[in-house]
Amino acid sequence: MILLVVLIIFHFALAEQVEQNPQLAAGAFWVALFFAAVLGQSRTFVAERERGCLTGLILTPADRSAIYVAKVIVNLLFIGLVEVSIIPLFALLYQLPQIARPGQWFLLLVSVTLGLSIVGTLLSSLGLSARNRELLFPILLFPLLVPILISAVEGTVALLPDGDLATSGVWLRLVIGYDIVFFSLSIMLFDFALGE
Amino acid sequence: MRSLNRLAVSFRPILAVGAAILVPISLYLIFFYAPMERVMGPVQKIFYYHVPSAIVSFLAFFLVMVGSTMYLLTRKRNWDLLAGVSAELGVVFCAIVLITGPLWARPTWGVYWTWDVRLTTTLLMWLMYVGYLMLKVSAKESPKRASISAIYGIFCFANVPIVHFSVRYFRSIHPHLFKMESVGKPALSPAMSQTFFFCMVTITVLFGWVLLERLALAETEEEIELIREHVRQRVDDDGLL
Repeated sequence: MILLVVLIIFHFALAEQVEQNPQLAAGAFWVALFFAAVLGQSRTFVAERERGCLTGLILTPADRSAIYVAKVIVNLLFIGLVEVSIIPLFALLYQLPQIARPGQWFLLLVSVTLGLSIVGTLLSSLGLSARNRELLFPILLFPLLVPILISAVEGTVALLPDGDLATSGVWLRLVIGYDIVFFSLSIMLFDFALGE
Repeated sequence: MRSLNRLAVSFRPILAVGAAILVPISLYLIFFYAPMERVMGPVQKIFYYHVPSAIVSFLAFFLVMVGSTMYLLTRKRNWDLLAGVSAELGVVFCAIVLITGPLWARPTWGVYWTWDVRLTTTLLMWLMYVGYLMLKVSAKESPKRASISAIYGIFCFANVPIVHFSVRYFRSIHPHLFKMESVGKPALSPAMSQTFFFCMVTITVLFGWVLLERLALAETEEEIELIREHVRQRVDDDGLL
């Protein structure tokens, strides 16, 4: 829902320019998606914490990183669900032109979404208090997400009609590298995030 | 860590005296010994404090990572204090870089700010560590405060090179507004590089001294907090209030 609102706001802010160059639409799309993903993820562990379920989960003999991976998958699916509903709508509202390599763009979309949920899940597992969750979570998360935001926008622009196709692969590789670095770090650090 | 503390206590006066001597000398060198830059004029003298501050802020953020990692591994409070104190100083020195940079950029490049690789990375780095400090302050009542901020400290450090690379790709694809190479890196005359080297040492000594002072202060704060907790416990137990 917030996505739709942001998209409409962007339309009013950028209306005429978008018709002239579709690159701006790529920026608007990703910024809207990032906002939605960041706001949605701050509550990843809230239900478990409030009802003491997390303690139970920690006490199970399973490896703790399994909890983390499960939560990453859940967030991935949630953001994916949002994307499935918003992409057709976005293409409709902004008259999005053809994308050069749909397969590659899909790969970019998946790896960016994965990056969003990898970092977002770990930050939300830190268990910020309710007041901080609203204010601090986006402040902490956005700077960490800058590399994939740049890659997502530029990777999309490269695939648009006037884009430079040769550079599109660089951005995809950058996002995948980011995912690998932060996934390994998160697996190592998740134990400490949950505490004893 | 205990022996490190003793080392720190004995180093503190040495570094304090060192900083007190070095700072005036470095100012003298900057304004009277180093020759005037031909193109940029007196404004180039910012360089002698700008660049060392940048390097020292990197050093500080590296210490945040070291302190955070060591805290998670050893669970010793001192490492957490080191990380927090280094983050504070890193943010201060990084702010010096971000303030002196535009002052220098305006007369030489014609603009206060350009979204160049180094500028963008520095700004984002500053933002991340300001976030780190906000996290540390706001999680004060949380028992997991140290682990939480340690995890974020490690994340920030891992992110800095990735931000740098992504912004570099970003800029290399877009047209360059300024030829940074020709303006940004002036060939230094021997007197200039001597002055620069001296300033580098000065700023590092200054950083080391302030770091140790702040560390001692943080330890005292902790002790006071412990004593206060203890007293509160006693008062509660004895029913004095």
